[in-house]
Amino acid sequence: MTQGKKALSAVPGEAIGTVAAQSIGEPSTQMMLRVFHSAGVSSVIQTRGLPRMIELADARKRPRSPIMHIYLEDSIKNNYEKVRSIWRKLEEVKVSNLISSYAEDFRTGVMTLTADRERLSFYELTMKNIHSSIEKVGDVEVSIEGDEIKVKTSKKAGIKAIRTKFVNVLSARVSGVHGINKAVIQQEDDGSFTIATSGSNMLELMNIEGVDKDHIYCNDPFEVARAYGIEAARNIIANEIITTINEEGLTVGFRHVALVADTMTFTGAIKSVGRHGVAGEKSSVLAKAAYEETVKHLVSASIFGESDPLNGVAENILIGKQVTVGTGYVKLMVKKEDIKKLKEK
Amino acid sequence: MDLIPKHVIVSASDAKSIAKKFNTTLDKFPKILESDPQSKKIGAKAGDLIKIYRADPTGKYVYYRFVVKG
Repeated sequence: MTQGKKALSAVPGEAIGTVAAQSIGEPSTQMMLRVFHSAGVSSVIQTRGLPRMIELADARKRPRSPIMHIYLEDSIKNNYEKVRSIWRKLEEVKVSNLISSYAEDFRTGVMTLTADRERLSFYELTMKNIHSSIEKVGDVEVSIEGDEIKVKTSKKAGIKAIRTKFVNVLSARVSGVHGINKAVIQQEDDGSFTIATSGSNMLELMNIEGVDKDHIYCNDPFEVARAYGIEAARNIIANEIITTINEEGLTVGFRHVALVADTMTFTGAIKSVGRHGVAGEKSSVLAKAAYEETVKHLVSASIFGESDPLNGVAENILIGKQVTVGTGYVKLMVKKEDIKKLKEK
Repeated sequence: MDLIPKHVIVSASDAKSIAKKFNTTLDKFPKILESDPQSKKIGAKAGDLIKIYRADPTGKYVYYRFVVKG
């Protein structure tokens, strides 16, 4: 180990958690409190600033703006045409994206859709694609006359049921990957192409041919944990926090952020930092009571007859004892023989 | 950035000596689920110890995770 690294490494008993909390907490007071949806580099919209930090620390199941960066296999990443053919498969196109107008008749249960030829040719789809995807909705008869598509509900049903069916028809997926709202092709500095998307669906994307399935970057830790495992999710959490901080022009040491990410993924699943996760699973009753929902914790502790060995930091501050950190972490002991020797003197 | 670090199963005897080195027991290590895509990939079962070769901005080091059911 070099001299410099040794100086940076923590010693036993050092309060690394507190130092990390302060190191992240102080710069985040200077971050943007309210965030407007500003266009990113790729015209794919991304949440930034404090809201994004809170989102990551709370481990929200559905982030406000999930995005993906898709890298492609070496053989095709420089070929624009082939990249384009993959891109075309990504963006989710619904029936409602391909029509110019529609009319609903609830008496007969018939909906008339007028297809938009321009949009059809843009997505390189045909009327047949629409036909088959509407049929997948079920219980409908589809007929095509020119640009008009007539959808008739085959079952006799009430107005409410007919309306539900019509909505389902309009939102039927014609092509693309479920969950991807928008996809953009980007050119990297070395001339290769990548695809940025808003909306995420890693598991389905890994099955698409031509996609480098080990190098999809997604900013949703849960999505990454499902596809790549907990270690990759830990990397995503740390990387997303540090980039969010750096975007604001602030700097925080990576070790502090890595500690947060490691703690969040300690149990093999992603836990939030707050009272439902890391802080709520402290072993000490008093430490939990000192944080949030004081009465609830004390009541349940008294009902179940819990005890507190006072090993942590928060509970010792609470009762006014020496904190088990730094020099308070070590205890002095004297050997029996040494006491004898002292007495003899 | 490489998202997925290399995962390797540690042999039972090595796992014991690693636990001894850190002066703790295996079940107190950070956990990884048996159903995790990476532990499935290398065929790790509950009770194994997985060695992970991490490469952070701070440097290269090894991390250990204990495989648990789930």
